[in-house]
Amino acid sequence: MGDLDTDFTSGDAGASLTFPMQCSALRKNGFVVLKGRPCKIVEMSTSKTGKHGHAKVHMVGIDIFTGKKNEDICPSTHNMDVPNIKRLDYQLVGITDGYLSLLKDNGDLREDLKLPEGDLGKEIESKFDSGDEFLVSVLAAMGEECPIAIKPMST
Amino acid sequence: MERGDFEASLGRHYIAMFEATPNVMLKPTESWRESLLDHRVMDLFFTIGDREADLIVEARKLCMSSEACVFCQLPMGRSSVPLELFEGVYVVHRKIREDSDMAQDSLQCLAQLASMHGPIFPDENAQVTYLAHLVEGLLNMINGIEIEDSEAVGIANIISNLISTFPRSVLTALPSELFGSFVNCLTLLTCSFGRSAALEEVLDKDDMVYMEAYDKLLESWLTLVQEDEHFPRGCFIQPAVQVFNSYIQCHLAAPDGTRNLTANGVSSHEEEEINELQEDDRELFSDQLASIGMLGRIAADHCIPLLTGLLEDRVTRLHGQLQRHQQHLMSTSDTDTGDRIVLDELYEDIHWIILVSGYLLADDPQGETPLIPSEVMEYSIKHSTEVDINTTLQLLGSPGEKPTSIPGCLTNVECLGMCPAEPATRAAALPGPQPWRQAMLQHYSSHIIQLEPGQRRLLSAVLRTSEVESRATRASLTQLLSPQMGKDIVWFLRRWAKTYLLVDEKLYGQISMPLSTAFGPDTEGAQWIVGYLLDKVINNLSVWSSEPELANDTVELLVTLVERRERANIVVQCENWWSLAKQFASRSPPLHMLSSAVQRTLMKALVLGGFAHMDSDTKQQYWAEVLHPLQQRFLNLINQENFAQICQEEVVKQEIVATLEALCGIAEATQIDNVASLFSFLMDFLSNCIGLMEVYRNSPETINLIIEVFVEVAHKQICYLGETKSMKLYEVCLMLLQVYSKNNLGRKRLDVAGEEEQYQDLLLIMELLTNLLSKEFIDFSDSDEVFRGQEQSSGGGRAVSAADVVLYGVNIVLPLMSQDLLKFPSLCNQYYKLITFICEIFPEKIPQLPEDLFKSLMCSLELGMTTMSSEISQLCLEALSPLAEQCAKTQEKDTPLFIATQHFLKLVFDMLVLQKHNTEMTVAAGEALYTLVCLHQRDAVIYQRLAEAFNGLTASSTPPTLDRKQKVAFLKSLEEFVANVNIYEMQGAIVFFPHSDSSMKMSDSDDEEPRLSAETLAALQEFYTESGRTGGSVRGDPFSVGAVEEDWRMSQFWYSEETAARLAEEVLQQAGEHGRIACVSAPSVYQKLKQLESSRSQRASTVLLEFDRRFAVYGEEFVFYDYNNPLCLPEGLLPQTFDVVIADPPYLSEECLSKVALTVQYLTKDKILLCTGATMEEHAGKLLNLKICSYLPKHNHNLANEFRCYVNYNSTLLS
Repeated sequence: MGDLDTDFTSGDAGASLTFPMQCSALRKNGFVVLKGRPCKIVEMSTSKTGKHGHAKVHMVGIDIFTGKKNEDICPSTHNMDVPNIKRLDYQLVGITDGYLSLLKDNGDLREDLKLPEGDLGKEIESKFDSGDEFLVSVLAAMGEECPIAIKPMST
Repeated sequence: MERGDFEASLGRHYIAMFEATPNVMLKPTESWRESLLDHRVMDLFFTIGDREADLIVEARKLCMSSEACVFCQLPMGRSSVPLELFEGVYVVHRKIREDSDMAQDSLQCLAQLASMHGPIFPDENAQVTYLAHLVEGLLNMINGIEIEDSEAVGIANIISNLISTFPRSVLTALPSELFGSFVNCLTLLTCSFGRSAALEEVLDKDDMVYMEAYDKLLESWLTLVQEDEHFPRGCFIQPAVQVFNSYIQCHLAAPDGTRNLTANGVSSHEEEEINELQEDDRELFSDQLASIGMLGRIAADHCIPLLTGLLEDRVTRLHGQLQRHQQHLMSTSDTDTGDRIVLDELYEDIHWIILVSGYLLADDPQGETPLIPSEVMEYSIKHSTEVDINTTLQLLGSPGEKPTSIPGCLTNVECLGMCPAEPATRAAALPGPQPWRQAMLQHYSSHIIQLEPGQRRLLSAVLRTSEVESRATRASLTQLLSPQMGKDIVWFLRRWAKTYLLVDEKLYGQISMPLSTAFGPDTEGAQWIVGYLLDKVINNLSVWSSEPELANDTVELLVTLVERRERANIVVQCENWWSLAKQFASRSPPLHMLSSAVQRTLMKALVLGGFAHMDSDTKQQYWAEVLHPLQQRFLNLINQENFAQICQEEVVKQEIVATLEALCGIAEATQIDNVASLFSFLMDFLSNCIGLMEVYRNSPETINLIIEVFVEVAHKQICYLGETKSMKLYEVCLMLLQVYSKNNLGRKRLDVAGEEEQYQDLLLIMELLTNLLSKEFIDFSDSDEVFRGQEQSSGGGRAVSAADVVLYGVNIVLPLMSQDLLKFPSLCNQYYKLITFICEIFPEKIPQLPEDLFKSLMCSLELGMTTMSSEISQLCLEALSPLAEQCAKTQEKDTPLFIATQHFLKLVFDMLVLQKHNTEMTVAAGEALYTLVCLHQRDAVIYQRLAEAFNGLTASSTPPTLDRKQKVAFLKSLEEFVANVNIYEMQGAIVFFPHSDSSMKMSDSDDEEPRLSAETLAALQEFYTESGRTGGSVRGDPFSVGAVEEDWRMSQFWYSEETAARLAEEVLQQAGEHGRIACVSAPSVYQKLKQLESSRSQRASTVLLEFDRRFAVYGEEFVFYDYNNPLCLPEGLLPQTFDVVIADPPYLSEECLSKVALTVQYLTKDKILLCTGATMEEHAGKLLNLKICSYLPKHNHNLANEFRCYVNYNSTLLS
């Protein structure tokens, strides 16, 4: 995934992308950076080599953006990077050239997010075409942003 | 058939049990004496040697029946006979031992003989004579042979049975020489098995026969020495020393021991991956260790100094080794220290020494405060004169002072202060072994010095180990340490502290002075050690936060320190304690890195500590620092205006989760004297938690945690709560259930392949309900005594009762449970526990349940009784009695419950008499049967049949009543009845194939088929027909679809009227005039056919192949069919004799379909009509060459799976 800091263009400038956490303190269903990608931990187990060995943690994570599976094993004393994850809901106001026009809370418009591929993208498009008003949930982590779900407008 | 007759009369029951569980105890009744007086038995026995060819066969028979031979001879007073008999068996064993199967049998036979007891012995003398012969024979046998691997367990069984069966008085009455050689032989055998077991471990064998045998023998030792007051004093000391030494030897590395040495002395050292699920040695070998610990106490004079010496030596070596590593680290920048083998060997030695020491010094600290074992106490008293108490106290009283300044101490202690961890001073931090050793000795266990070889020297050795560890962590050598050893140390300290710290002198008749002056209440020694332990805990929590198990053991030690008020009083005086509390309350590092379980236990410890004795200001301050921040932060958070927006943020979630974990910890800290304040504190949270259920409804982990808080509160507190408080708890639980139910409405749980943890919430809800119910069993509340003065009586208003809450909960849970979910053991257990509780506690509520719920409850009971593990069956059986009693109370007939109980009566009877059942369940099943019989006796016909069938089971002619005396009498005769009439193998023949003569015939083979007398058979058969007719399982028109109710556990789903008619028409048409039709697992089509048949002229002959025996009411047209044995069909069904076969396989699986296909192909001339799921199209085509029809069959209840018909002929169904 290359150097992540370089394609850091949006989000809260100044806030760090990740923070360190001791491996043993990670939890299942929590988040961690595996192989440079922000992942949700779906499996965690510990083992040791020999009866007097130190604990090692085996983690399986699912990339929160691509859904790909990543695995890692490391000593439980090691510090792992945990991504700072933000989830924001925007109202969808338009779709132009495959980009979403999203309305921020403060009234600003952002148009830098692509319409996602796959089922979600199709659903967004068809719902929008049929005139539904709804929110798009955008997940942001490690300088990457991606719509991941739609929500009905809360009235 | 002479022999056959003989064996038939010989307790088939025992033989059956013998086969099932090799260790059944023999308890023959007096009646055996007369009934078995048959010399042919002996003749049979003694002819063995002559006929070599028959030897093996005869030996097998012998093993089955020889138990009986003894019974018949012994009472005659012919004392020489048993001797010959044993010799006979031993001789037989020697002859057949090459054949390992045979050898198994003969050893089992001997084991059975060794367990004989009961009225067969007219007096104790007979028992002594019997035992003497048995032992003599055994010794001769063991000494005469070299034991094979396969014999080890058998021999251990003989000894174990013998020791546990014969009373001590009989054992001691043996000639002392014989007893002596027996003990000697046992000792040698134990040591030898122990060595072989160790070897098995090295070779990593799958089948650990020696380990099993060793376990058995150690267990026998435990039984023996626990009652050693019956034996000559000291007679077990030498054996104990030997067994103990050999155990230690097997667990130490060379040169002292033989650990990891293969038979030819080659050492193997392999590092294997160990996962977190593997049990720790202290659990895995707890039985062994307990026995060894016990033996160690018997020979305390030898064993305690031995352990102390070994541990001191290992610690010194460990220290030296660590130093070398450290120097190596300092001299090279290379961080890889390479060779860890030496260290690991030391760790493993220390590991075992500490484990044995822990088991020797104290009993298992679960539950109540364990007492100091009397042997250890005696040992300590014996050596108390050697202790210089003054020096001890002086040293203990001045821990800050340099021991050198105290007269009598002479060494350098420069390094005893805290050691800074800077690299430059590291070398100084770990002084050379010799001075360090002396310093340690004097400082940390100063009172013990060399003057005192008492058991506390063992403690001091462990403390030294602990100190070496702590120092190494300070010197940044944590990487080199063994977390396992860390665990062992805190485990030992915890075990020790529970038993020895602040000994309560009142509990002991005599107390050792050094013990009470060193660790008694109000001693400086106790203060010092509490402080030390607390330091250790705090150090561990920061250094070892990455080792979850070690951290867990560490906080358990902390809990031990504070759970008794006396100890807690000292703990809260330590400054460390307060800083720990503050640190934890502020969630600051390193404590926040601990696993959630550890944090929870830490919270528990902190709360427990809060109830120690403090002046009121201090106490207030304490709570302000421990609990209030928790509450404050929680309230601040959830009351934030934008909580709805931020609640899903990771930080917020983490905070919430941490709070919930803490709440669980607080609930766990509940004790009777703090429940009042903790309950009020927790109640404030509980209502807030219900709000969170809404907020986090999409986050299962959080939901689970919330429910868990309720579960914990109910679990820990309900038994102390008075009426009004309970009511409050019921109310919040009800609210919780309401929200849960709302959120689960329409939630799909179809994912069969799902993992157990996905259903955690369901499990927790059931646990909650069970906990609420438990109040009915365990109630310590004394009409709100603990809350007195705190509350006014509750105002009028309708109160919520436990029954309401629980039944409401059951309403939610039952529909969510499905058969698939019962495959998960934890869910299954919890579910049955819950429904049994409900039946037992609220039988009056059962008939009021909504129909669906009632039905599924009954189905569950039946399912549990018939197809689950014996534990579950037992639970279900226990639920039946209260239901039957309830029916009896209301006196109403024809209620659904009444009809259900009728059905259960039949089931239970089946279970007891006709099926191969587990003997453990006889009592539960008997009780259920008895109550059910009582209930249904009004049904005169059934009662009469039963009475006949039981054939004297209910000996008195009075009708059974619901009183205890009769019940007990009934159970007793039932046991005999079942033992004698074990006819399970006849089941099919008697009940379901009355027309088939062939299956009634007994084969003349060597298998001893049990059989019933003709009269009993007839009676049983009649009983079945009767109960079938009146039992309510078939109602109204016997051929209407639904005459027999659907039973989901058999995967039964009836077709709708319309579909059944359409399919019946179809097959009638295809079969043609006088055609033959077979319905395979399609009873509703069969029923429809019969209806159609009666209304028209067209005749066809139809056969129903069906698994559900309720359809046996259709007489000869019913053929029992289990798709698992697709070709196991009665002789009457000839191949290719049916014009058309219609089949509806019970399950949608390829496996099921392919088996049913075999049956179908066997039966049909050509035409096949198959009804099954749409998903099976491919398999149907492949297996039977069938085409899918466009006709859509319908069921009475909508099925989730799309259903289709398939045919191999030209049918109108196709279009």
